[in-house]
Amino acid sequence: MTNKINKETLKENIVSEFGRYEDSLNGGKDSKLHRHRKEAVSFIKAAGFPTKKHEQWRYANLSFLNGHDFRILPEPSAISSSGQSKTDLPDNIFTTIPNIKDSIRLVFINGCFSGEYSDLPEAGGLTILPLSGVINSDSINSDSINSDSIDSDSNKSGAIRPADAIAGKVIDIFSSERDYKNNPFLALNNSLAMDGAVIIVADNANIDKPIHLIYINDSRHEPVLAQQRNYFSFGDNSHANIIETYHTMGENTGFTNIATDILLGENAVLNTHKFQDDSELSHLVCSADISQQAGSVYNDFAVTLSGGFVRNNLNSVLKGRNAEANFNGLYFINDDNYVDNHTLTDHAVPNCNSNELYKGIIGGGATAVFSGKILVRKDAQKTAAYQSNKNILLTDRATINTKPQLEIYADDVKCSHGATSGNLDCDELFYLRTRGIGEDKARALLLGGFAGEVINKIKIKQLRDIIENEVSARLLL
Amino acid sequence: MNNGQKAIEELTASEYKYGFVSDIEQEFAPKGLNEDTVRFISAKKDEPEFMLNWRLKAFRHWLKMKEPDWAKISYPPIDYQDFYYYAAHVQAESPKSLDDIDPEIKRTYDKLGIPLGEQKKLAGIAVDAVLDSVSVATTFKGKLNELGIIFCPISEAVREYPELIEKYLGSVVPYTDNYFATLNSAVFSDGSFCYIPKGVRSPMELSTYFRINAASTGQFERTLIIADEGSHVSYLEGCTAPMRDENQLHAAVVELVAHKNAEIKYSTVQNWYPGDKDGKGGIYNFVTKRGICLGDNSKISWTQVETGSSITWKYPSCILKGDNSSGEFYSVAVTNNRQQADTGSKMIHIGKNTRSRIVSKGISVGKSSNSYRGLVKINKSAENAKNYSQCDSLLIGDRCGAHTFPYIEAGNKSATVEHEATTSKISEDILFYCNQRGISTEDAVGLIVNGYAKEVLNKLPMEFAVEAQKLLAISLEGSVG
Repeated sequence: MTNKINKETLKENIVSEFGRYEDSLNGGKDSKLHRHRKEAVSFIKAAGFPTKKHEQWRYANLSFLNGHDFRILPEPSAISSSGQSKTDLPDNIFTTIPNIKDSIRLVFINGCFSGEYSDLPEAGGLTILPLSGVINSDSINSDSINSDSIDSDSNKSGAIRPADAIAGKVIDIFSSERDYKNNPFLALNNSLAMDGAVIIVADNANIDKPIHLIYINDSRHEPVLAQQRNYFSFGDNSHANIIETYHTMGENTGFTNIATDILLGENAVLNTHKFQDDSELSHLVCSADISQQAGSVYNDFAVTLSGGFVRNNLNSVLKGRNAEANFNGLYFINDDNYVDNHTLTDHAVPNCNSNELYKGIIGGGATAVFSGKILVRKDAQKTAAYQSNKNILLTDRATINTKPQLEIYADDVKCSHGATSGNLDCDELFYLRTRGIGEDKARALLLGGFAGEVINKIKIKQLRDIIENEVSARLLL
Repeated sequence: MNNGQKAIEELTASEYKYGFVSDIEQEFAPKGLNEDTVRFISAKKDEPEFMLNWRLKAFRHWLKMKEPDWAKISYPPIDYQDFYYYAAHVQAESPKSLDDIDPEIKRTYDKLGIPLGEQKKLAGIAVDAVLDSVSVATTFKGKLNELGIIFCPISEAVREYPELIEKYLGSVVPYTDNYFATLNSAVFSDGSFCYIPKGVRSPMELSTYFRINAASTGQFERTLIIADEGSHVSYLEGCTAPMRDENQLHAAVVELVAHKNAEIKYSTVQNWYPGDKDGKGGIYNFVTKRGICLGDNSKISWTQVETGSSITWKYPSCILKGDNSSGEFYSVAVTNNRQQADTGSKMIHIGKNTRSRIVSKGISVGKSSNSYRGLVKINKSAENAKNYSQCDSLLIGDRCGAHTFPYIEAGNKSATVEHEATTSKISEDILFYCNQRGISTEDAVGLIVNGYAKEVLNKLPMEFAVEAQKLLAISLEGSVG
């Protein structure tokens, strides 16, 4: 299995790599999962990756997809017999990864779960499994005609043998009935993502410790495409916090493509935090689809401080009454960074609330994109949906493209959106300077305050402090 | 059924009062579209060579284009071969004075309330009336000529002022611009041309009245307005069409050029036939309107009241090229029954200290769909540019849709861009307050809607503001209860 293909596009590489992968499967070809994977790859084969003519990707420069010989599937020698990563990480890597004390830690290296670096203390009502263990178990392939020839080592270290019901649901997230057209990277993920996290929280469970997912892209030796497919399910009345951080190693271009499905039961409360502070060579696409039952509350924070290309797709469907979705974002970027937040809040039933607050400080030659859509379906009366996107451009080379959208089919609603782009208020600067504060310091104070509106909403103190320190360091405060 | 409801139903039944057909002898180009059609139109208009070549270039380009599908509108595919691209009333000789005009045509315009007779000086508006494919009459020509203002049908301008046409036609909306503009470039039959010389302030409102009369015709008019240095003009446009069961196509292009210190104010009251209650018939209105503030300190202002058409696809835009130039867009768009509107504005900031303002008020009623789609682009060169956009939607009824798709692209740190949008319905508290003061629900809705749209209606010239208010009231009739 070699990836050395010169000057070909990622699309062609994916198709040929998929062929090799398929050949290695023997009888597994007829499983439901593989049928889904085949549909995903045929979508890529037919449609390819988006260009600027694609409405959802009109500002994105996806040229990094081509011209790099990304390793698409890990080298067999890097994987243990149980499917886990065997890669040795240098010790110093953990000094650069935010250390959240007293957390449940899952480490993925180039798309494969690493039991060695992970730390999974027991917590009542919480089940964590590597996705590979779930999807490769025998039971789920029961509808295949040749099930006995499948890799049968499903009893992986650290993994509990999953219930069949979970396996079935996890397989369903690979279904091609998803919106591949608007997000071809979901098809990319579904075609060849081999691992990820399956997190199941039982009804009424309150998980005190934050769950920290660490995605490492080891591009020290060659450009790597690392893909993770996650499935999180939170029972009724449960409560949990998730932190996700991203780290690209080495001097090669790394591309990390993560897709997550989140199900929130009735009255469940979930806070997710994406902290993106990766190298210039990193390219990151994070897609999350959230389905919310009645009374559930979902809070998302996306903080991006650095990255060559960062795209966050966040779609929440409010399926039960009184559900609430709050999306918060802060991007503070420089150099030639590119950050793109695409959100959709889909109000499918009456009486739901959604709030979006995205703030950006854009310097250097960086480009930020925000595209947020509020969709209020027919009969979703008494909806309250608000959206705000505020930007400050620090240089003339910086660019912000914003597209706040409302699509409303019900009349008894309160919806609004606002978007601004500008510079610091002269009056505010003047006020601070009359108080004897130097111009640089005054600017930094104002920018810090601007960013603080988002940061202060983060409830996990450890993470908030880390982000606050990073932002302050950049502002030279 | 109480009396109020009865009154409403009666009014609703008579909602489109301009739906009559005039019986005028007309000649048509053969149905369908090919190079011969283009040549036929050009020959009919006795056009110079350059014009025909331009049309043919546009037509050949159009053949290679694809109809756009990004707008939030849906309609069955248009068969472009099923239209007459040219329909003209038969007149033995061109009219020397207004008295020579076919009395039936005059009656048509009288019914529409358009003053063609110069004796109606009180109206104080110069009118260019366009029926189907040709201009019928232009009033007050003499008086305007004294000031050096050229106001005539564009077909006449092509013959009389070819140098101006060659210089400016397509300079704002090139023939390659978009599907409908390209089609228009190939087959446009008439429209208005207006040139205001240096330093002249037009003493009266200039106005074009478009009327589609013939069946199965597409109307493709082209308007070109040039305001030379330091001049000022206010221009009005109105449109109506008979009630017909089939859909008719209207693809117009309007180009505005404002030189240094010039100001153009362009107001539209669009009331094409909107189709019946079930969405049968109506005009497909695909219009490209764009103005360029070429010189420093110039200003272009678009005001539109859109109540008609079964489909509206229209984005009046300003290219703010000159330093300190400014662009404005004020719009009220009402959709009722099964009407669909996808409309908004584009403001392209290029020059320093450029200003733009967008105020869009959408009102959706019944089963209609009303979208605002706009772009504010601040180029790197646009130091200190400022934009303010406000897009409000009002929903009346729970079967309609209101959508907002603004695009904001800012590339200059000194620029300030502000955008806000809200969507809501008329609150029950306000209605209740009106009711208890003895105002019926129907009247209260009218009151509230007029207040809601006031910011835009105030921008219309007086003569239009009155008409627009009435139009709003008619469009909303029967929407409550």
